[in-house]
Amino acid sequence: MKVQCELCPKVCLIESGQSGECRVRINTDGVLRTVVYGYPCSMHDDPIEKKPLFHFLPGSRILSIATAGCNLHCLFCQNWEISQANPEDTPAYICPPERVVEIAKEQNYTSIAYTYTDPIIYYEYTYDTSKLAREANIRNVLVTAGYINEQPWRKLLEVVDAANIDLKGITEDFYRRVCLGTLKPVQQALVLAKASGILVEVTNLIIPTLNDKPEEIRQLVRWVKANLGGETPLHFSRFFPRYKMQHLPPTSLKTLDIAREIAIAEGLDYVYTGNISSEFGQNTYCPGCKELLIERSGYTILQNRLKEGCCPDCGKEIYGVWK
Amino acid sequence: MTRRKFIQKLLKAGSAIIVGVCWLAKKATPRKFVWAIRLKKYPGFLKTLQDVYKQSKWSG
Repeated sequence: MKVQCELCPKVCLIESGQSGECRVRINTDGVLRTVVYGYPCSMHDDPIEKKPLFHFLPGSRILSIATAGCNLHCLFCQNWEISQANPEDTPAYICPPERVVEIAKEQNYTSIAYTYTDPIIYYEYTYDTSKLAREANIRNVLVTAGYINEQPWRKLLEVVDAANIDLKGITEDFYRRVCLGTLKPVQQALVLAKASGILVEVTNLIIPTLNDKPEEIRQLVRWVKANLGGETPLHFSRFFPRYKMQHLPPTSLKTLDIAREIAIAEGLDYVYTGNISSEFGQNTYCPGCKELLIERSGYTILQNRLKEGCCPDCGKEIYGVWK
Repeated sequence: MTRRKFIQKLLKAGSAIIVGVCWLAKKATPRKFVWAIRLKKYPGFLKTLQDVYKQSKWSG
């Protein structure tokens, strides 16, 4: 008997004994099962700036977990060794939700990140762990492509505190050709996340020749401003040749700087450049008086001048979760 | 056509319309998201918890 998975917009109709496109949700005798629940393939200690989240508990460490699999198949995937792998070929730890939260408590983590691949595909594991973490006063962060259906997304947002959501491009053509997905559900997930009240930051990986035209970047920035608000932090990330895009060069610093200039000119308050060392691109400046608020070098905070989440010079409230 | 045949045809057409409307309504209703059940046994190799306190090499 076939089973339809309703988790993501792919709505895979799965034959008995087969898995969906994500490789980790399978049909066993007419029952939909998740094979990675409690089995993370990766569990690490990261700076929160690596997610990247620049407006959520800056300078804190975050326990970061992932399982194998992904529902998108981006040709440029930077973590393809685990995201495009079958669980059969991916060694994993035994770590049920209770154990994840226990580790987080033992090591005094303030938050847990569901990241590296996509927490959408290990949905039940993400949800149950987040629920337990919240009961233990530990916050939950998603790093996701936002390719999920509305009903499960709304439910997951109830137990999450912050998310960095990729907006990989601004055209349906880009999502179809390069990510093997669609754009609309991602835009809908972004809008719902912002409306739910969680902290949202957006990442756009700029890939030479594919999504680096100034007009496209302007279109993306305008969409973010109009639909998520000018206070939403936007990260332009540097692409490195990986997976099926080894023939393209890394993104130039100049392209990233142009993207940042476009976003600032269009009225976004917090625009960053990532995966690259840049003099200004990693700092937070006050959108009111333009003074430096948080100075960063790589993932390190060099100074944080915020006072109770406000600019110490002009008093403007800065979007974020600061304590 | 006799009155009986006419009524029979009318009933058939009526029931076909009802079935069609029900089918359309079912298709139009958003499908309920069903949670996947945990598979007890991981299909891959299991390793012991290590390097948890190291920074990851993965992006994100």
